Amino acid sequence: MPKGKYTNLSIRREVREELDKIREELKINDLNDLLILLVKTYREHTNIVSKLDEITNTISREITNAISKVISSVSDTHTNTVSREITNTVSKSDEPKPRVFCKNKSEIKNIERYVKWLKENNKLIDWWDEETKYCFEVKE
Amino acid sequence: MPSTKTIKISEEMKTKLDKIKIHPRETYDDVIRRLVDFYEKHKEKNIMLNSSEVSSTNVVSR
Repeated sequence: MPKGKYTNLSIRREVREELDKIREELKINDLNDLLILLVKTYREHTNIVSKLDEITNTISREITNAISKVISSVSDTHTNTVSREITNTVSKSDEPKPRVFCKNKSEIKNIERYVKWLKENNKLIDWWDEETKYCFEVKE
Repeated sequence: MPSTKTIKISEEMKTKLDKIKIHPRETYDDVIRRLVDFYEKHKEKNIMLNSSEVSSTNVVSR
């Protein structure tokens, strides 16, 4: 028996019998060796489980973050696309298109008054004199 | 009251058993019972280490 401090532990008879049974199964002569083996294996197992838990939690957090980023990215893209579509729609449908038309000078009695009238109606973009006619660029 | 047996273990082994207690008031009987259950549960998965890795120094059975 090795020297050192020892202590007595009381365990149930059935537990002791279980220990003896395992000792025989593993062909371990001393109960001492069996307890060392059981504790060592148990601690290694729980350490592995603990590390796996840690890894699982890390992976879970990373997946959650990645999903959040993807959702955020998709949401931004969608918002930008919708925003662009709305802008395009507005610019295409609501913005007045310019139109150019010309009139013979004989048709317009007073060009200044006619231009003024177009301006007042906020239609005139530009106008010019083309010898026999006046041409106007207006908003439709 | 269930019949009991006494085993003699080293202070070092007692400390190891203390470290794997789930709570401070867990009895050594319960701790060893847990180790036995763990073995029974996992022995088919062949996770028990080679017994030659340990030395016979910590416990003497009566």
